[in-house]
Amino acid sequence: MSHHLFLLSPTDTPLYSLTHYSSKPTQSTASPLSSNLPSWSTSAFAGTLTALSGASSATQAHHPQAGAVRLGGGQDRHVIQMIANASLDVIEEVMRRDSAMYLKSVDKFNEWTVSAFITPGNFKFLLLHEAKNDEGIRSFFNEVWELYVKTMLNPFHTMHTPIRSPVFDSRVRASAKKCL
Amino acid sequence: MAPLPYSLSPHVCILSSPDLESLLVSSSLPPLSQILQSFSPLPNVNTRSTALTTVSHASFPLRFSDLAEVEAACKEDEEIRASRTLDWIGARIAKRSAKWVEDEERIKAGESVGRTPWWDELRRCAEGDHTPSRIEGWNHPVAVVLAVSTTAPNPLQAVTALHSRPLELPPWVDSNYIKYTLIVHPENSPLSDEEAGALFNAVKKQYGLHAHILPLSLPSPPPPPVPVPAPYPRLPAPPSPESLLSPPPPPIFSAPPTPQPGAMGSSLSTQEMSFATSLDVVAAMQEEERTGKPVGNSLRMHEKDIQMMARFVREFLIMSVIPFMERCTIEWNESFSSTRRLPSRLFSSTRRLFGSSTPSSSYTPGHASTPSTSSVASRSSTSSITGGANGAHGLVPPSQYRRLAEFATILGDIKLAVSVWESLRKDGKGGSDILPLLLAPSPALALHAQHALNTLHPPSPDPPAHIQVRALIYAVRWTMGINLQDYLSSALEGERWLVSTAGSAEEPHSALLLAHAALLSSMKYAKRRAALWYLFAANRLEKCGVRPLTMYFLRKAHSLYVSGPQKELSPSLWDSEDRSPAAWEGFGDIKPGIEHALGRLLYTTGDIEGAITAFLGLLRRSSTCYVSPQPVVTNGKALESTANPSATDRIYLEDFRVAFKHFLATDGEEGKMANWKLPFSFCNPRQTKIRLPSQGVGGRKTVWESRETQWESFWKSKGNSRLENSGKAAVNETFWVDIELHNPLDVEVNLSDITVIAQEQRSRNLEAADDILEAEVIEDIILGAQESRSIPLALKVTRPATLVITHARYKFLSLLPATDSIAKRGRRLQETALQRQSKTYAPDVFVQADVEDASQRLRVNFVDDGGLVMAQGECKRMKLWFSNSGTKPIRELWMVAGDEDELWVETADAAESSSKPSVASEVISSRNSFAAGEPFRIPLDTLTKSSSIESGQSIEVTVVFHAEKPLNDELCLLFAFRETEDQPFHSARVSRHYEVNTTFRANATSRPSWSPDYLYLIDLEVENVSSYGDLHLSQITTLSPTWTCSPVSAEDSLGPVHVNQTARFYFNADRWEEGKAEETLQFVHKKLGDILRSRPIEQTSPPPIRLLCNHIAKDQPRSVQDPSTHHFVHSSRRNFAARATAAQHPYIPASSHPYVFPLYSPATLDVVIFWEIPSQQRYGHISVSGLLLGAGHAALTEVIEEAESEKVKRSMYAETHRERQQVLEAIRASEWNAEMNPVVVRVEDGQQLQHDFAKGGYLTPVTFVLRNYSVTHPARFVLRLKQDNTPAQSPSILLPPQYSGRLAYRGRLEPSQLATVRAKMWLSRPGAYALRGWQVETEVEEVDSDEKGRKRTRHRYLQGPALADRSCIVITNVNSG
Repeated sequence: MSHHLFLLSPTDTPLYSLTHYSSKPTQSTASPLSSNLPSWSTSAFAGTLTALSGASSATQAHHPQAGAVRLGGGQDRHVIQMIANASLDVIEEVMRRDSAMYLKSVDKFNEWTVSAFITPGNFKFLLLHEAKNDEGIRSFFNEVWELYVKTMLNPFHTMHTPIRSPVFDSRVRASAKKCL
Repeated sequence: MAPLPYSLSPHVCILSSPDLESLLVSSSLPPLSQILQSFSPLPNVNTRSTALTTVSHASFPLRFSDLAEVEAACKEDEEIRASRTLDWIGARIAKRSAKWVEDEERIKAGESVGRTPWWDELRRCAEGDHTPSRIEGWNHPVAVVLAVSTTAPNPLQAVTALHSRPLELPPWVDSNYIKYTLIVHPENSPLSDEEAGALFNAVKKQYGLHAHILPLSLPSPPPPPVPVPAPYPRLPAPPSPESLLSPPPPPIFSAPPTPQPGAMGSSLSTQEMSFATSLDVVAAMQEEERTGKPVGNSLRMHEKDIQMMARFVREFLIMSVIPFMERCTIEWNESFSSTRRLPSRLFSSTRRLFGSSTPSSSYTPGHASTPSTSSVASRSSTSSITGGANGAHGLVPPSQYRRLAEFATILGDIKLAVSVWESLRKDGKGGSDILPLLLAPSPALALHAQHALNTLHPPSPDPPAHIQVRALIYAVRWTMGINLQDYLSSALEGERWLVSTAGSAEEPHSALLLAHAALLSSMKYAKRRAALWYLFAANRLEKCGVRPLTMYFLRKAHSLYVSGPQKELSPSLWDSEDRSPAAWEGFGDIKPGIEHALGRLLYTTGDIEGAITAFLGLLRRSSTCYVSPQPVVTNGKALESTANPSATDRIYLEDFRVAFKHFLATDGEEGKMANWKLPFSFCNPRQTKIRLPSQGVGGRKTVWESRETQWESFWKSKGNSRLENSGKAAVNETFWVDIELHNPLDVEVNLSDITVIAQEQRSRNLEAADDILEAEVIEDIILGAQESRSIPLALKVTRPATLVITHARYKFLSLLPATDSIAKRGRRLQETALQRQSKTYAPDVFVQADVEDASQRLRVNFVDDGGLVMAQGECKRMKLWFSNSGTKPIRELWMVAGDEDELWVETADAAESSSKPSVASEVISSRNSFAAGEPFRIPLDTLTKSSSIESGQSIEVTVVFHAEKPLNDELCLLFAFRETEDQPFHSARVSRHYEVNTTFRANATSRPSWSPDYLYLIDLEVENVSSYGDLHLSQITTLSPTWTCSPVSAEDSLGPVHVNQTARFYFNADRWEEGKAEETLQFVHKKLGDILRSRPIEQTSPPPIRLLCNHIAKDQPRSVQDPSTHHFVHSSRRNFAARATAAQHPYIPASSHPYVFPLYSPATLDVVIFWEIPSQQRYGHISVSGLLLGAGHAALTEVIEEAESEKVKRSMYAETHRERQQVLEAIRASEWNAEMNPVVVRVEDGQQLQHDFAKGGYLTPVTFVLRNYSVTHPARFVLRLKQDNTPAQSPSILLPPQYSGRLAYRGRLEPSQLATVRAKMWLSRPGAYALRGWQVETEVEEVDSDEKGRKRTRHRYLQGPALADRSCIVITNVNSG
């Protein structure tokens, strides 16, 4: 179970990235495969989420080694970054119609689900995760945002300064440990 | 609605007799199925829906295939066949990819129309599948055409044979089809037309109305070919065991066998194909090769034959197939709708209850007379029951409802089709795959598609091949059957369907699905997602070995990533961030990740140069993103890992090395190497510097600069000879350039053949300097990860020149020659508005080295060149060695030392004067200025014979160094020298580190003396705080302009002072009558007055002053007149005074201190303590300064008052006002404005009296001694005696005094005068009487300078006994009687 966090400036330049390995057990969502449902209604959108994430994340619990995009240190990092980059297309689209800061799961690539958080200053926080954990991610994002605001209070910090603060780093880690 | 895909059309199987086959072959025609296929689709076909409305189809496709092929395909295991299909698709793609990529890059058509040759290929391969499937009925034959020709020996028997031939289709294939008889009647048939007609009639009579006679001319020389649509590619038959033994017959309409993956790159380049006709040309080409004639996609048929054929196909469709399907639809719909309606359901249930037959059993086909259909009907009726029970799988034909839905779909009865598909879907019997094609676009379609894929198989890493094929067919149908705009709309997001279809299978088709998704995404302007999918596609394709297409996808991913979308950001954001929108870097690892894969592919495909360029590009570093280090868990403990980034660097570098070595081994052309530039630079130009041999001395740069400034300001007044820049190298002298190399990579690298490239500057032009420069070449260095190292390179120049060092040259990894510029960017220009608005920089700054003729070179060294450890105040003799290494003699040599450095150059005459006889006191004269010491001219005439240092000659000069501050520092000496007076000066430097350890802590205090002969008593305390055991005090000398000192006790205390021991000395100080202070005081008053009045300070030095020196010494005292001693005493006083003044008057600039303050204030008394360590022959002296004797009278009062009362000039700056206040305060508090009561009163106490009080009281005299300590002003005093009313501090001890007689005394004291007042005290009883109760009023007199003789009082003071005064008279009672 790994998580990848990226903080992007309004120009989509990443300023901080963190890979977090969660020690928590995989939350195997109990939602059954939609194919097992005897019948489902197309008019109700209740099934959308199940079809998008629930069904397949349940299967990933069965096949943890699924997909070509297993994280392997430096080699596949570009794929992870590529996924984060690709999800910006959807995020921008969602931002146009949704003014909320926490955009929940906006996109999905193979086993990776991308959750996003948009600050009022148009900074984007992206989180690539495998399991569904809406509330945990929301609180994680909120904590990162608070830490980020504190970092930005530094008058020498511009929009493109990489966030190298060790305090920020350690606190984000702690928060990730807590929430994810 | 878009037209239905090709694969959703009626499937017709052809069974032709052998005579017909041979007939067609002899006429150079393909098999019948192929010929008939050329006539599909048919234009303008009308069908009728169940509601009897006419649906018109602009084109109606039909699929024809050979029954034998279908039968064979059905026999093959489904999974094997599917995996064969996937391999076959992969092989076709691999074979053609190189050509496609070439064409695609030339035409760039795919991006606009959403079609690419590889997608078309994949689509056609998927669509061309004609094998009946177990789970859907599209490929199940609707009709079987039994074709014979009249050339058969017995055509009727041939027809009978065909009809009697059982179909070898498996039981799960729907047997609900029509049998159609076709009789081909060629012109050269042995049967006449009439006979043929009779035959046709007989056949019709026997086998029903589904028959047709087709007269064809088939001329014997085949007519010119007529172009026809290309057939869909079909999977070739599996190789049979026999065919493996014998050479296989040349396949006509099949793809070539799977090529070897390794050979595909080269084997394709010779083929000539165009995009439009490339589809399945390979088969045609093989045909071409076989026949030797151009075939293409053409039929060699006569015009008339074509018309006949077209008529037949149309008739077959309109008269047979469509009516059959319509009828089936209507009948099945009856049963379908009856089961859906409640009454009929009730009905059916009653019927079921009462055991009657199912509604479908009542179905009777329209052509009851045909035995084939009736037999089929009975079979289909059973199948509909069992098929409904166990779904689409198993050994039963697809359910009737499914066939109903399929037929309705084909016939265009959308309403019916949708309702049947929906009900099928709800029953979990499929339909989700077709519904997206039929329904209006809505988000539900995406769910249908997802559901269709999920029902096929749960998402797993490696689904079975038949599932993959099925998913592929679904995906292809969706892309074909849905309008492109709808497909791309945000409601459907069809490109995602493709991605989920591709799943995680690592097959070429899934890569192409991803690539197509990427193409569609890029059409939607979702470039970043497109880049990702292209990358995924490339990753999968690479594993399949399709390199040309992989590279194309990688390049697409790269270009899409780099271009990125347009950001909707304000332009002023970029301005405020001081960045250019083009400078976007994005994620740091993406570009290298893509480029690395691309580079490796280029290398494996033989493009070594491209690979090297790609690998070089990887080495650049971006630092926009901070990557939090990943903790690595080892043994349960989390450690910070640092390995990750270096791993990539190491891999990139290794790949580069391998590629470059290969390049050198195979090609190694120099011209190509010049194009490769390292994306980063190893040199740090800011740290590059020239190092000359003369600069190999310590000392801070600022110190040397201040020495040079000191020299220049000194020499300014003497002449205009400048000081030549010391940073010049000499001809043929080795000097060094230090270049700093920094390795930006996270991996160790080696650089070889490092050297610098320099150019000669000649009147602003740069010329190559190779002929005059000898630069060192360092063979090889290894730089660790992120290491910085300074590399010295020796240079030698053969003639005077100005060298500009422009570049450093080296070989990266001993392979790639590279040059780095070592130019610093010029400063930012701010002069004009334009420069301020946009960034403008001055021209680049290069490192320059001036090389001059070695005419004037001097080498200076300390003879003993080591660290210097000195005791505090020690006079250390050091030898300096001067050596003229130039070609011309040196006639003038100056030494420049720091302001605080106390140095004395020993010359021959100075040494002589030191042996003067000395006396106990002497008078020396001082300039009294603490102007800094000037550079010292070393007297060459006394040191050398020719008063010059000739070339190659050396001299030795002894310097005495005295340091009083305990510290660690460096002695930096600058020497300026020249040959003659008209030449500029050159300079040489020498420095030496020294350390000063403390010896004595000395402290001098003064207090009014009780002795009437002296004014003050000086108490000198000297403590040995050093670690030197045998430290001896040899002499103590006091210096003062106005005071003379004499020791109180004998000189016994002089001698050894052991560690931590203290020696005390007392001196009586008195006025030195010869001392003159007036001039000095006037000078200071005037200057300070100037400052207070804000007048400019005149550059006048204080008047000289004479100092009286009193010595105490054990033996012969050392004379202070000895020049070196005098110099050091003066210097240490100067250092003390300069520091004290600078601290006290921070607002008066230090440069004007010498013109304001004198070195010695008249009241000063300095003590110089001489010491020696006899065992080590060391000696020295320390000074104790800061003692001021005598009373002052606020000499500056008037000036200060004047300055205060001056009308305040309003300044707009508060700082200015505050500063003036502080200057004023500093002057008011300075020693020059000291003010105190000059009269000191002393009561002589301690009398011990005896008196017989029996005789009455006793009157005793009490002596008051009053002394005027002022040296300038007389004072009047009034001494009043009275009862002491103040409460005594300790009332019990002392009795209050009772004065009697005269109680007030008046008097006047001249400066330094002493007066004694004798009062009387009445003692009435024995006891101790406190000597209190007195009061002295003092008035300091001043003679007014304006009116002669008029005196006025300057200050008034009132003083009494101190509170703690314990002086008393003790009287005891004695009985005299």
